[in-house]
Amino acid sequence: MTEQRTITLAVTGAGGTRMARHVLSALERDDRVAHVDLLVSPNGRKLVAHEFGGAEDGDPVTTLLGRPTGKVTVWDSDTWEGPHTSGSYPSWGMIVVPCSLGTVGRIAQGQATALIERAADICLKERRPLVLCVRETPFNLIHLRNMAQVTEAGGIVYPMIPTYYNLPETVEQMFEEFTERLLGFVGLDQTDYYTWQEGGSRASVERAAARTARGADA
Amino acid sequence: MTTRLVVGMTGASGAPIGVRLLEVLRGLDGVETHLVLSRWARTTIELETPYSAREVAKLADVVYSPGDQAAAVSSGSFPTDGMVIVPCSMKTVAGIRTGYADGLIGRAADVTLKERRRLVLVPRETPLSEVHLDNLLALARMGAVVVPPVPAFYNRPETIDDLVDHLVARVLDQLDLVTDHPGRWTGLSTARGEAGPDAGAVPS
Repeated sequence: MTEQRTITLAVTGAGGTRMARHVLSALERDDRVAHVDLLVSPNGRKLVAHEFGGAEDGDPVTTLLGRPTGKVTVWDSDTWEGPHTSGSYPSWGMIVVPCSLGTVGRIAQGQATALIERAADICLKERRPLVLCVRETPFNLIHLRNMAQVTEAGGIVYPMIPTYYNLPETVEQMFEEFTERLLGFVGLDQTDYYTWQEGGSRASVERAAARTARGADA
Repeated sequence: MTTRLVVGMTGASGAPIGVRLLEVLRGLDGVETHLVLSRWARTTIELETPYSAREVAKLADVVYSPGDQAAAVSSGSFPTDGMVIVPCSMKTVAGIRTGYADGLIGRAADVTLKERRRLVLVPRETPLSEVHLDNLLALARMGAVVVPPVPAFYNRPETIDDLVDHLVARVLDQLDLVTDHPGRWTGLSTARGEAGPDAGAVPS
């Protein structure tokens, strides 16, 4: 049995909380992960409620996973509760998905004004993986400057941009591929289904064959 | 008055976005498109879309070879209303940033900047390295508009076509070609009143 890890997952007020569902679900299933701390900002709660339905003050784990689980602890970012305010808490790394550009800006400037920003600050000082899945377009100059600053400090800016070379057929497949690639950045390697190689990834080869078969039927 | 746009497609993933943009531009009155497909754009078009590069080229009004440095769009004396590169590879971003006008796409972008015309880049890459961000930041400082193809989710897209259509509408916004796109955000209170969300099943 390999060492089990504690992962921090944060949800902020940008669109794309469906991606958080995929990431949380994958972490919950993963035996390498002992515990997940789910940090939700007030605007993150608004977006979860908007994108999934339900009340803003509901349990985000139940909303995202469809059921509660003891493997995930929820912390509201506007409280200073929880162990994330200290680097002595042994988190393996942190993913912010979706990550608003306001959050990026506060992290870039060291403005630890709430629990999520403080937890990110600690990841950078402790040299732990910090992955920011930004959801914004276009990027203005301030966004780009802040993202460059976080990258210089060791963070990973991971915009929620799907690939097209693996020939996704549904939005859900795009989420799945993004989640697989993303988790590799916190040391949780996934399958090789989307790995590009000579002749294409397994995903692209299978989907191209299905596309051809559909064309032949038509 | 005709809007004359230069459209470049390069070898990043995301050919469906470029193709859709050309289709929409073709349907707009008073828009004239000048298209350059890089060598690797031709490959990604064939891989990622049901079209051949030849079919995509037919969507434009004028097509140039990617190595044709003598093309009209190589000179600032040829008036255009701007240029969009979609998808835009990180190699192309780097080439434009350093002024290394390699090939017609790089040269036309260089001309667009020097003539103070609108340059819209749709970079398809994730994650972004310090090199990528530094280049994009420098170009933003010079006035280029960086529109990464990050989908919106607040309008609850159900298909990949929904995502692509929204991205194309957002690119057109940057070219002052504001379309009647249904997926625009109108505020949380309005959105709350819309039909109930269908955020898909919990993945197993």
